[in-house]
Amino acid sequence: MNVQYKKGVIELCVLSLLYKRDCYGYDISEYLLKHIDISDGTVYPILRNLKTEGYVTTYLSEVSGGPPRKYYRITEQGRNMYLSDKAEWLGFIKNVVGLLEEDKYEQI
Amino acid sequence: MNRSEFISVLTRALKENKITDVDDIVSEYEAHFRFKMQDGYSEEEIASKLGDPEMLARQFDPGIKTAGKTKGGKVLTAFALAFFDVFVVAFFIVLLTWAVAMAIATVSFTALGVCLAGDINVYNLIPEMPYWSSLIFSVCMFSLAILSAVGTVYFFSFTRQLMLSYIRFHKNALSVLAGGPVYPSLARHPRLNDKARRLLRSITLITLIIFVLSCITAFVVSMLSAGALGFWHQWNWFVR
Repeated sequence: MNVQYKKGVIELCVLSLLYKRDCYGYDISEYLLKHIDISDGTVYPILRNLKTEGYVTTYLSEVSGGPPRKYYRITEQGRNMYLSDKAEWLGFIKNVVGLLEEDKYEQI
Repeated sequence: MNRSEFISVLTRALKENKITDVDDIVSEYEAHFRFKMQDGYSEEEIASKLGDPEMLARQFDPGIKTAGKTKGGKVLTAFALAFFDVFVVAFFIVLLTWAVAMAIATVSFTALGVCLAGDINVYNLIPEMPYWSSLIFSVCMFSLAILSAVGTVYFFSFTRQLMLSYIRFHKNALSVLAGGPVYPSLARHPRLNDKARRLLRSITLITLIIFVLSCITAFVVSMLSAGALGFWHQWNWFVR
């Protein structure tokens, strides 16, 4: 699959997770690996770019007996972007599925 | 490729690509190594699963110039913070001195109580009175000592919390200057646990009652034994 294309999807997945709760980087990475086939390191650039664009913010949280964890929290801007993108995606996928199914019938 | 090689290649590649807040990004990968190693993976395995560090470095956008702050602005903020520190530290010294004064008061009340109860009169400092009066006065002094001890504990934990919040503010301010993440701010009041808070509260209440009752009893007993309302005149107190 096209890398740039995949990146957009992963961004949406990250936002969908952060929409539910605040997470630290590794948490997000492991969660996505369970569902999508990506290499371990790719989530971090995406997180960083989301932060640069202002869709998420970060804060530190102390952990007993270890260095502090960096948590990501979705911003208001991120929420709006997630909701509109999600609707757009679902609509898009529905159309694509419809189109592909049509293709199948034509072949028969 | 092991962990330190991976990190150094990544750091170099990020710097070459003119990425801001390199430390922030690298710390994320270091955390990744830590978590994976806790799960029992070797450094080489983790590094190969992460992928080529140079490729990863290319996936980062150049990034924002931290909140549009210029270098001069940063220096100015750091100076202002240092200037502010001088006053705040002086303020904390005053608060801590007060805590020490309260602790000393506690010790003095205890010593006075011991002297009154044990009939020890150092340098004739304690005025003349019958032994039962001095016994009841010593109860007054002991309860006063406990009250001031509780006060010291409260005041000290309050000051400590204030200092911790200030240190956190200081750290966060510096972190913001560097474009890094910050800690959430601390609560301003001390967070004693429920058990300790209840214990301190009941100690305070009981001692306060004992203090008031023993003061009244001491005065009444002294008046009766001196045979006058102003027993301190009868016993020649405050006269040299």
